[in-house]
Amino acid sequence: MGSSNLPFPVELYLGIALAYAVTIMSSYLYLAFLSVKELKAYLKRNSFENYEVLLSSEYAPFLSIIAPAYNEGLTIEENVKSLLSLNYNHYEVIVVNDGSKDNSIEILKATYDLVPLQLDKVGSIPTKTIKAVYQSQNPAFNKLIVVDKENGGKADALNVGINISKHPYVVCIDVDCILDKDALLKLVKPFMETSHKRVIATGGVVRIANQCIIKDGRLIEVNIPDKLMPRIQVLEYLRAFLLGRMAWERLDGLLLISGAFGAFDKEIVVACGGYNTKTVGEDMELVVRMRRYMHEKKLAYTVSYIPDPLCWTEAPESLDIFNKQRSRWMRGTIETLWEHRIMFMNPKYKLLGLVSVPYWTFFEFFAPLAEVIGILATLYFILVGMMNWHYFFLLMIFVYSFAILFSILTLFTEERTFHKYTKVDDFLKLLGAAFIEPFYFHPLSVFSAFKGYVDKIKGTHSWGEMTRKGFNKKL
Amino acid sequence: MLAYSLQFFSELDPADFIIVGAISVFTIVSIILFIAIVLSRLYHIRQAVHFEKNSETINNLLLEILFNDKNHVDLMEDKKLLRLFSIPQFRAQLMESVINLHQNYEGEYAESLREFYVESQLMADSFVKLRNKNWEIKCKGIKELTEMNIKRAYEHLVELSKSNHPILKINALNGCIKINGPQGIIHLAKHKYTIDLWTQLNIIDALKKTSLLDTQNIELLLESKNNSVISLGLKIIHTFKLFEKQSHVEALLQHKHARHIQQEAENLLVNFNSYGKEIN
Repeated sequence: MGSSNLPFPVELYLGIALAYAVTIMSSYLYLAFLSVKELKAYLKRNSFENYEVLLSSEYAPFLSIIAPAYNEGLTIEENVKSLLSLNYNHYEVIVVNDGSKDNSIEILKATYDLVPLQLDKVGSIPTKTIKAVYQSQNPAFNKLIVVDKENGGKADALNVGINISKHPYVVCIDVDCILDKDALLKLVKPFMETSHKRVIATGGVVRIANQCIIKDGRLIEVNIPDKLMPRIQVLEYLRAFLLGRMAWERLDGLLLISGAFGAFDKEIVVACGGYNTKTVGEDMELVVRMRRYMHEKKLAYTVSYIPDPLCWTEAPESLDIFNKQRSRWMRGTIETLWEHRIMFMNPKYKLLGLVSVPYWTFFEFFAPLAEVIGILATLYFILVGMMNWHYFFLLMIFVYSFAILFSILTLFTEERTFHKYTKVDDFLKLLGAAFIEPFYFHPLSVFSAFKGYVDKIKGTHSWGEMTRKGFNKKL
Repeated sequence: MLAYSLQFFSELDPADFIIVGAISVFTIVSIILFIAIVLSRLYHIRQAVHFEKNSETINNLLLEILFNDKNHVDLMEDKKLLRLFSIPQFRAQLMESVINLHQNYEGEYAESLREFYVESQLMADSFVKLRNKNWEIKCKGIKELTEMNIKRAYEHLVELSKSNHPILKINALNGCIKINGPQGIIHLAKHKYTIDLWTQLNIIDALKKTSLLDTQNIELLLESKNNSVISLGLKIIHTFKLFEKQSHVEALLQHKHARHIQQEAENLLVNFNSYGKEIN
């Protein structure tokens, strides 16, 4: 390794590995540069916007919030109340009970005084059987519709919601997410801004809420978790959302809108056939399919993205749940990329086919595999005595220093933009996490992603239970 | 140190040089970013301290203006205030306080604040902002001048409303409306850029807030060649229930227009007819 008399295959491997590492690092830096530029422009624009215009206007778009729920009995009452009290007038909330085994539906019926509702018209996306649809007798909850259906998974529940929704835009969320009170006001604005291109979807930033304080379904105090696993995920989410997605929005190549919080143009969603129930990465798959549809129909469109922290979610704290989540994410990526493989390097899909899809293929799908190959190659070099320890340590320090640089750049960006982590203690916790992450969290994520490959090959299709610990509540 | 570093790097072979060089760059940039974060926090703390200190002075100054009938000339007899007035940060904070306070007062108090705004050259500061190259500074100037209802600014605002920058356009149009009521947007009939729905709703919201309700000539918007302007005109007629403009909407339907305009006009007429029936 590093000497000139190496066999050709070894030299070739080393050359490719180095080129791969340099490309991935350069792309991160380039995306970060674009993100920071776009963030600055967004914040400048946003300081002059008056979102309350939407509260008093009869022309504000009508939205249907769809919240699938599976065994959420412990928190569903409070979560639905928080959805019903968002700062927006023109919306309905559709809670889809996806065949929960607990008492979710009974709680909803009792709390919200639900009575059966006969629907005149239901959409055309095929779904599992709907057992009953309910609405509240209490006028205070007239925005609420509850659907009880056979279990069919999150995608199927979302499709039921889309079929039942009355409004032109659907907002798909995780029922246990904590939304900012103004989340809908901010999410809907992009749909009204562009006149020459149709905005087909808008996504918002998701942040980690572990150890944050929640009152009446609203986040009132932001804290950094003491536990290392969720703490590093705070940093990871900040990196992904602040220094990644904003750049893809600027390039108009965004492929993923988080399943936890995103709004979609219903007409296009329905034209595309709704969520794909055969994948566990239904959020990414839908966005890719909608974009593909618009390209194939030669319709001008865009996908928008809001950098404000509007949605807060709970990150896994246990290794087991973390593994399941990341394995599922990898399987979702593989399934989406495979389903839409025709787009790969296809100039017909312009930037999407030539940049976005290849980027996801090489740097999201392939990266964990490349790392595993790297580890195996290193072990091989050690065993056959070809290891050049000088270069090994030098390259390790090179990669480590880059990882630290990128995390500190993320913290700097957060500091100069949203500045949510105001306490010095919290900042130091995040800084510490940046130094520990490459040794602790990164190997775990590579392992979980690799497990995703294995699960995919084995044909696993399950979501895996995501047991929530619940948020700290202020009484 | 520098000599040692140069010697160290000159002795490296090319591959080592690149890797060690990159590590050094990453480390130095990380340290710079860390220092920048610390400095940014310290700057904000210092700003907050200054803000607190200035707030006390500004509050006293505004109390003198509002309740003791003092004017700018009286206040400038105080040497300390005279010196503070030359500090840009103080003037910016004073401007913000005067504007915010003006939003909460009417009548005599509002007039006192307006006089102070004009005499203290804060108004001149706002006009300078209108000429700034940055759109966001222009927007600040617009906000200040329109809050103080400076009629002289109207022509400048009309010019700025022709901008292609959406936020500057919204702010300038809102300013036109604030100063001149619905008449402040009649010039949009000749507007060439598309006015998106967000801008349209901002204009309608500004109209709702104005006390001037002279809707004469608002129908001119329906004669525009710009579909988005026609759509805005229809929305204004609908929102403010301008039944007297019904004939203009009917006339609009006599000509061929884009389908969504046709639809909007038809819906408006249906709405008006149902209101008519309700009233009868």
